[in-house]
Amino acid sequence: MALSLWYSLRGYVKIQVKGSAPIRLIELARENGIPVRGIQSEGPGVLTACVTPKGFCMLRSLNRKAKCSVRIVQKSGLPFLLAGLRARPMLLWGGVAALAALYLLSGRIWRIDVSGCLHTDEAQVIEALRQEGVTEGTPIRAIDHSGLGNRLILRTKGLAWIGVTIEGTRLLVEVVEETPPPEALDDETPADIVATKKAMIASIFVYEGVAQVKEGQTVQPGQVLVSGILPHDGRRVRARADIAGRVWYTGKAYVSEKTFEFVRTGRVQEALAIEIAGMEAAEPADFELYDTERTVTCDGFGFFLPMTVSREIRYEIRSTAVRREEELMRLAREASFHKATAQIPTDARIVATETTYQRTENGVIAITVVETSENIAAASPIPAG
Amino acid sequence: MKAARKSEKPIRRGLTEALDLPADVLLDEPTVSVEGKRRLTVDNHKGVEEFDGEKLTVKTSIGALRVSGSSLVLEDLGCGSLLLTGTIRSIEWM
Repeated sequence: MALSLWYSLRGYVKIQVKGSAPIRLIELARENGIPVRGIQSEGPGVLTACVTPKGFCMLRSLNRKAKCSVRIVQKSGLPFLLAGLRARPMLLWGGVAALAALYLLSGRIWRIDVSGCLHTDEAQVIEALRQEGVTEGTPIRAIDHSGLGNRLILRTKGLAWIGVTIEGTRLLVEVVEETPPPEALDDETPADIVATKKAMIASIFVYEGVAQVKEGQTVQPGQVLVSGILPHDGRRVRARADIAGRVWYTGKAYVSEKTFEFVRTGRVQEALAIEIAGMEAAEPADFELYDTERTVTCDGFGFFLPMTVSREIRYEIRSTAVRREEELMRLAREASFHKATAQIPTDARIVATETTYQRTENGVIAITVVETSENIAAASPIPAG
Repeated sequence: MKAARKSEKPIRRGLTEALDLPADVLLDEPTVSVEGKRRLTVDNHKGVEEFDGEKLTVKTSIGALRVSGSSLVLEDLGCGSLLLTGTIRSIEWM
């Protein structure tokens, strides 16, 4: 492969040698130090071979001596390609110009992508980049990459972090927006009480404000439970109430009836393993499935040799077992219960649990519904007007 | 694969065998290497006597080496070594 590449770079001609003994010419060439390769027979008295252009010139003087005729059938390699291009200078210049243009254009930014803008306008980030001297067409070398993100933050509003990376000719701006802290409400600010999650009202005791729901009613997240606007005089107050809701959490789990348990059968095989320079050879195993205990008996023979001899004890093992129905249901119930309770807040109290089972071809699906009693109320400021 | 006539150059041969030297260094004998059925190298040869697509005869210091096969190509023919590819059927010393 490397030799072929070398010949292609140097250039070579494929010649056809005709005569009563064409190999004589090849032999004469070899004796005169002309390298010949790829000698093929094309029939009686005809050979083809590859020689360098210089070798071909030298070969012509040997023709008569060998009583052979030589003609070129093919010219290959870089020198002939370049010679061909010399006849078409515009093609050569076109190629050079295209390469130069590619080189020059690849050193500039041609696309700016902004990601992560949820509430912020991308145009604001693009404008900040423009103020920093970065637009489409800016040379990459002219961009002060370090600290560009921090300078952009100073020029924009509502952003917590900006990361700028350059991938080829693409400038990628990653934006993380600021998360405003929740509005703190003091005790005197007029507010409603709203539901934080979907629930059924279990109990409601209103201290101030007007109840909008009744016990047993199902509410949706954000729904007003107690209004802070008093109906008789239109006064706005801070609604206060103790509200408990019933919330249901669901967990689903599938357990297969087949399990893998590895048990030793009692059959044992002793074997020798040799490791040399990372490559290991060991006696073939008698068992399909086995686990191994290995003891190194010789490590490098006391020298700095990359060789280890180990003794292996192989224990045959057997796998697969089928779970009993009760165990299958217990495992499915536990897994689904765990999934359901993982969603429950710490201050909630579990009121009831119910599990239903679905038998499938290879196992059981358990669906556990956990009912809790918990605080579902949160204060929400009354909109102005 | 190496071949030699025992009767010639007894001192050199003895030295070569005693010092475990390659035969081509002191005895000027050819070295023939075959990789499978598709590649043959001859080092220290004395020239090609005959070649077509089905046979090659190479002169060496210990006699002629004939290789038969099909689709034979002399990939490289340099000073003292040659590389033959193709399907090699037989190799014989003459």
